Amino acid sequence: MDWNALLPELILSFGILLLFFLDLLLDKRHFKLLHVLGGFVPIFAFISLFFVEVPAKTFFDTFSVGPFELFGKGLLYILSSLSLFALYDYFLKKNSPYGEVPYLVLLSTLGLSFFMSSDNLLTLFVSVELSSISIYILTALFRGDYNSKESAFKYLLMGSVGTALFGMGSVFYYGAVGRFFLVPYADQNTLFSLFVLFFLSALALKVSAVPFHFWTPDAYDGAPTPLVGYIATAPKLALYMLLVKLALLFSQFKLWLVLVAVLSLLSMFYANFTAYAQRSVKRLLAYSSIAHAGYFLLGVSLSDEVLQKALLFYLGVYIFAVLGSFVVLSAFEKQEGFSHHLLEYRGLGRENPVLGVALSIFLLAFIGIPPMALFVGKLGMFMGLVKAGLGLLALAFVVASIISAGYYLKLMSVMFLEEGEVRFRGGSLSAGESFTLLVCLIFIFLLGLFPQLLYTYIKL
Amino acid sequence: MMGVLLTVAIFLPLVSALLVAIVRNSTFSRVISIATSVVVFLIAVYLGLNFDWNNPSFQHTIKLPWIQPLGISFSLGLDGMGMALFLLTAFMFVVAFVWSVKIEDKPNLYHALFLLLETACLGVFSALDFFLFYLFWEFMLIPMYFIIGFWGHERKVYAANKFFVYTFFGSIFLLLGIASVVIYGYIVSGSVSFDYFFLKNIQYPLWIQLVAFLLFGLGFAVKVPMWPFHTWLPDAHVEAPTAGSVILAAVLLKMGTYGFVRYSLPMFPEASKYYVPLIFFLSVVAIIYAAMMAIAQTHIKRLIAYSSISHMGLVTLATFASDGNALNGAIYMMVAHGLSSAALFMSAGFIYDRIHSYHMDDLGGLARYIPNLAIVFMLSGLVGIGFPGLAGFVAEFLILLGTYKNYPVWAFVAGVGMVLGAAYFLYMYKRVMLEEETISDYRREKWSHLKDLELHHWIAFVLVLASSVLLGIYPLPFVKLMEHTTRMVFGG
Repeated sequence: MDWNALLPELILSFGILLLFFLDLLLDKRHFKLLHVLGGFVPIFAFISLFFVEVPAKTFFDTFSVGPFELFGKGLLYILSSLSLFALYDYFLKKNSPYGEVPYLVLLSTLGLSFFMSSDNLLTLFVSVELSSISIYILTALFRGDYNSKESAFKYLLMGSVGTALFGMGSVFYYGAVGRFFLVPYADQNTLFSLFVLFFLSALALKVSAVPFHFWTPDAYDGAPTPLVGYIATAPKLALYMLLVKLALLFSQFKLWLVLVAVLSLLSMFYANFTAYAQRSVKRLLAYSSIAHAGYFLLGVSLSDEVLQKALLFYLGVYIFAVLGSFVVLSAFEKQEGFSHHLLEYRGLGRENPVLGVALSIFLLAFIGIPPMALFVGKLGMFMGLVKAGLGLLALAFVVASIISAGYYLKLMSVMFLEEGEVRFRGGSLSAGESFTLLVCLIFIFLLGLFPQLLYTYIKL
Repeated sequence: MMGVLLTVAIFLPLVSALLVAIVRNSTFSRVISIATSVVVFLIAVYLGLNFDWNNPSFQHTIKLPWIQPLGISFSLGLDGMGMALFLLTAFMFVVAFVWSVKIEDKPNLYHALFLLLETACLGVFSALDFFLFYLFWEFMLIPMYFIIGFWGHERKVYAANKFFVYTFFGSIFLLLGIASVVIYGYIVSGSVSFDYFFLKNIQYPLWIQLVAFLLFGLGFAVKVPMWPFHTWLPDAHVEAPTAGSVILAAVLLKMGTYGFVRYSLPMFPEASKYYVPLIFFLSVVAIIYAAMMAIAQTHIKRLIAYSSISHMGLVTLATFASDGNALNGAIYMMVAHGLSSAALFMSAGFIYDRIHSYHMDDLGGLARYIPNLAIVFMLSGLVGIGFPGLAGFVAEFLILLGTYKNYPVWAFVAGVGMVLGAAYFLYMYKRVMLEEETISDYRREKWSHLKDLELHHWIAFVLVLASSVLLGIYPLPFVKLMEHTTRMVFGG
């Protein structure tokens, strides 16, 4: 056994156990402490990444670490640490200090961390379920709240369909290839086609691409708002890492490009149009993330180094914009009776300029306005798509981006420009939330002006 | 050294904007905004005086490594056209800040946004790297969006959103165009570079030129704006505050035509010839249609907005007439129109400040009550319609001269547009300033106490009109500047 390769996962596991016992032993008063401790666990895991010797394989070769995995894990740990710091105040204000939150988030992170390193369909399955089940529980955290229960149930149900598809796909893969390891395979046969079909469907469901997106708006709507920042980003990061690997292995397969392109076109156009009909800002952001799933899927339509690097950069900065925007939303939600209806956002930007400006920066970043880093991601995707000879898909991406600009702007103009009765005065920020928000903003600007800071770490 | 000065001029407003945001004192905001813009203008003049128009290359250049893995550098420089527009931009911001010295509503935010806008505008005209160019080009949207949205009139939210979406529509195609040429450069040479000269010197095959021209052209056409992408402009102008309109008309519209001259013409020469019929058709429609629309307006700002579209049609027509004089005229027109439309919007803004209406039905006979405005309003209009001795005349003359050589019929149509220009301006002047019989006694009573131009209005008007006269009677140094670019485009 090569324990060194597992260093970050071991740290995470110890952290989880520690938090588990502390939750049992400590009083509710120490809720905040648990979260801050929890936030430091991924930081230690992140630091330990520098001591992992790559490339390494362990667990009978099912677990491998290379520069590519290190990149993904680094982002994942930063992300889960930041989201843990931003959690506690919301639960305290809602008067529901659930001590299980930190270790459930970490458990999900652990699962995703294993997922990123797995080269084998069996370990992939186990690790993705570890993460998913933790997230189902997190979604249902407000046990007394009808919406939370409903959305968690929907999420569980749809997630189980995904699990089933994942399992079916794996079985067909075994039938075609004769093993569970992911290896290059070029033979065009029925079993393998079925694998691609089922497996892609399962992944599409997990990244919430149309037509497998139904759980997303409900889950985002019902889950505790600050947790959505985590739910909407961390699993997707890991899943796209897997999709990039799959694209490198299987994208010469005939069906691949067609399936991916159809999924992505459906996602971007359906979601961008549907977003206009939303009255809840949380649902609006859910549709925005479905549209982004469409954009990201374009990045795995063909195996091309420029394209995949661009995708990983885009993804790497996108997750911070999403996390930041949900931190702002949860800060707003601390006001009594705030339900994220669009009208409740009226004048919020003027009343609370810090939060309003922060949210606007994230919205402008989603549109793709420089100097926010998502613009570099978009530019990179255009370059990759043009290089891969998929100019028409790039054009579709352009058109979808134009369509999307309207609803982000609508939210911005509601917050700042529209006049009328102002019902809410803007929420409050805790120290942890301010920290997370600040880091997200700095990332977005810094990586927009100096993308090489992240770009050099992307190695395929 | 000059390059450093250029960089300072571009980023000084950004620094001031941060200061304004930190200090949040309205007097401080006003003073530092005017001071900054004056310093930037003085730097621009200094750069202009040190511009060597016999040297056929970009000047005052600076190039620093920035994002090396993507071949992006911080590269600035000016040619003749860039210099002229840089001067115009720096100048118009001085005028805009002087004009807004009495703004009461959220003055700190107002000045900070205008300062941000100044950095973006100056950057667009001097960036020599596609990444940097796009950064400035697109960043400009944010301050302008809020300027229209916060200080606009009744339908400001609609206008701001429309402005944003339309411009974004164009520029995202531009981004795809940039990605395409960069990737083509990468395929040809094996290295990624966003450098302007590197990408300009590549011979693009015809089909790539045709596609890339359209992608770039869409981005520029929305900004110009060319018919049929023009509908955002009247709304944006109508709703924007006066200084916003001034900058929008004088500086922002020039970015589109600047883009055509800087990027489309030299990079895609064959496509530029191929698309001449299309461009000419759109330009002529813009010239005639917008002029007719202007005649039909009763809202004075909307009328001036349509006149802008008409004038910018002349610019695009002349840009693609493949003649040196026409191109000189086109660039001259950019500057002249910047001055004339700014003066007209300031007149309209003044009338609104005093009478709280832009509608001709509510106005009439104002020359009796605010005679000084009547004079400057007349002069502003004369600049716009190309009265001899003023800046617009030189521009229109050069445009007609150049266009007539290759395309006599189109030159005739352009001439018709100019005649219509005189018609709608004089019509507006008659309805607003003369025609006393239509106004009611109530209004006569109310208007008898109207205050005429104040000191800051005078300063702004005198600055703009004096430079229009200067450009009209002594065009030589400016034409030399234009020729610097023209020679680079046409080679020779």
